[in-house]
Amino acid sequence: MHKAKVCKAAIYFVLSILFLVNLFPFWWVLNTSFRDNTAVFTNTLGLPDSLNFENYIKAWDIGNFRQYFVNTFITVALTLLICIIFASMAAYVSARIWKSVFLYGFLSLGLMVPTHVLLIPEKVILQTLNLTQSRLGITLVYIAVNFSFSFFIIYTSMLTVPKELEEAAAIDGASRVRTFFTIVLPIVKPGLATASVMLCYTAWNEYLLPLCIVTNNNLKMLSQGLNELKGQYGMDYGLMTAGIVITVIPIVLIYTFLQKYIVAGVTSGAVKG
Amino acid sequence: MNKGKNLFAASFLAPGLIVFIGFIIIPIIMNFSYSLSEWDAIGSPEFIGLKNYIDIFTNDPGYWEAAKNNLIIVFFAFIVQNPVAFIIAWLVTRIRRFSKAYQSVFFLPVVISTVATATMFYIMLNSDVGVISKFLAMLGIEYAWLSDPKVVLVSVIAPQLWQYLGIHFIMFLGGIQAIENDVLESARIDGASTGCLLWRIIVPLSWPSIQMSLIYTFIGCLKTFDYSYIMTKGGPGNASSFIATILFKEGFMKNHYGYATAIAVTIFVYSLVFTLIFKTVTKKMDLN
Repeated sequence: MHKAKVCKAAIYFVLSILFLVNLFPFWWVLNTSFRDNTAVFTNTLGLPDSLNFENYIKAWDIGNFRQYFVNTFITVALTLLICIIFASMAAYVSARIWKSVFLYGFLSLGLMVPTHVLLIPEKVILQTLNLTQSRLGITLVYIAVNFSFSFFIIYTSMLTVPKELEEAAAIDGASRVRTFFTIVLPIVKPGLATASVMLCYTAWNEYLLPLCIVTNNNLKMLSQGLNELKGQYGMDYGLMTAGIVITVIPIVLIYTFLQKYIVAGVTSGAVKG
Repeated sequence: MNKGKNLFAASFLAPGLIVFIGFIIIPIIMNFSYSLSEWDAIGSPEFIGLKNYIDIFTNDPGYWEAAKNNLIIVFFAFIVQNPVAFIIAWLVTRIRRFSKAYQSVFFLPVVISTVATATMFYIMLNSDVGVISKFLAMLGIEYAWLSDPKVVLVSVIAPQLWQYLGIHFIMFLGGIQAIENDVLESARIDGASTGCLLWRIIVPLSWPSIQMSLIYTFIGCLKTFDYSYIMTKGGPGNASSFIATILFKEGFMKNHYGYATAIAVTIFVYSLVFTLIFKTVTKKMDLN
């Protein structure tokens, strides 16, 4: 019994050390973002003298993070809205009307395909359609890239909708469209939530994709902006860490409140290609 | 009645299908087509058959240096990252308090943008003033982490393995928690030691989660790009490059569209072949 207690204590000890070690980089970044750069170089681990937001203001204005933040936000918001609607409509048809395994397999193909195979063609397509300098073009690519995963998650949820409910609605005279929006969608809310949270998280953090298809400075994403900040201000640690925090805050907020959806999405078995 | 149903289905399916075909299916076909041609973004593609692939396999030491690095990261993911994730998951199943807090913190790095974490480590590994460099120097381990070809690969691999440990942790946690308590209880009553319990019972019974983790690891490591590009740009030379780095350099810095798309195809094929072989082998194992 005593041995069991010592064992438990040892486990808590090990886990706590790992806990602190894991948090340390985040603490250091957050801490440094509030300090003056010269102070950082004298003492890396010191606490800030005061809660000073200078670095954040600098990143926002001079570092152009305001533009990058807006770009990323708008792109992710539009992608979220359109992709989830399109994917749930397709999932509904695929799960409840045209229940063909080929349709399901076809629409899930995006899961198997690494983004790398899409990079050059997307660039060529956007150039051909003259959409390289337009948010529409970039958003379309983002929607497509997230489509299969959203479809897959929502499809699984669609399978749980009881047939009787749809039949009852039809008998009551509800149109198919109304049935979809007022009866089916509310039932698949968990699937919608998981797909939505996963989409936000993936789309917000995208780097290779925008790096290849977004060349217009006014349309660049936060991920690109952060890396470019490094080019000119790489040694201004206060500024750099403020940039990191700005990039990361929305996702950390989503994670704090919606963690379970990200976990559900990640363990869904749909290894994102 | 049927006609109404089909019309409805078609119109509901259409929007997603159109975007999907236009921006996924067609690009895939384009990629294969370009890989069989010579095209430097000017003019039009010129069909050259399998020459790009032949060049990759016989004429490109950079590609193979990068591929070797992909294998190295896969190796360390398999023998360090995943076992550590498994043990941590197992430890978390052994305790009751603070479990949610541990889970949240161990999984947190996963959701952070790779650009953010890569930049974070870039700063912390700076030879003169980086927190981590200074700490390691105190322990006597002093290197130019981001420029010494002997260690750049370590600098670029370690942070990634740290970041994604949380995903495997969560997978294994789910797998271990799915094991019924009765099985563990009866084993303990039979006198099984902790080590025996772990190795002989818990690991085999969490096999589904281990499978998921293995596939995720291989395919993830195959596609890795962000860390090396952001921390070292793949350098010096190709010392910290991965296949995706070579793809980017060839396709988007040198505009060798034909060659780069062929590289993309190799990545695609490797992941397909691995998944196929893996599924076949595990099916045989499951039958036994």
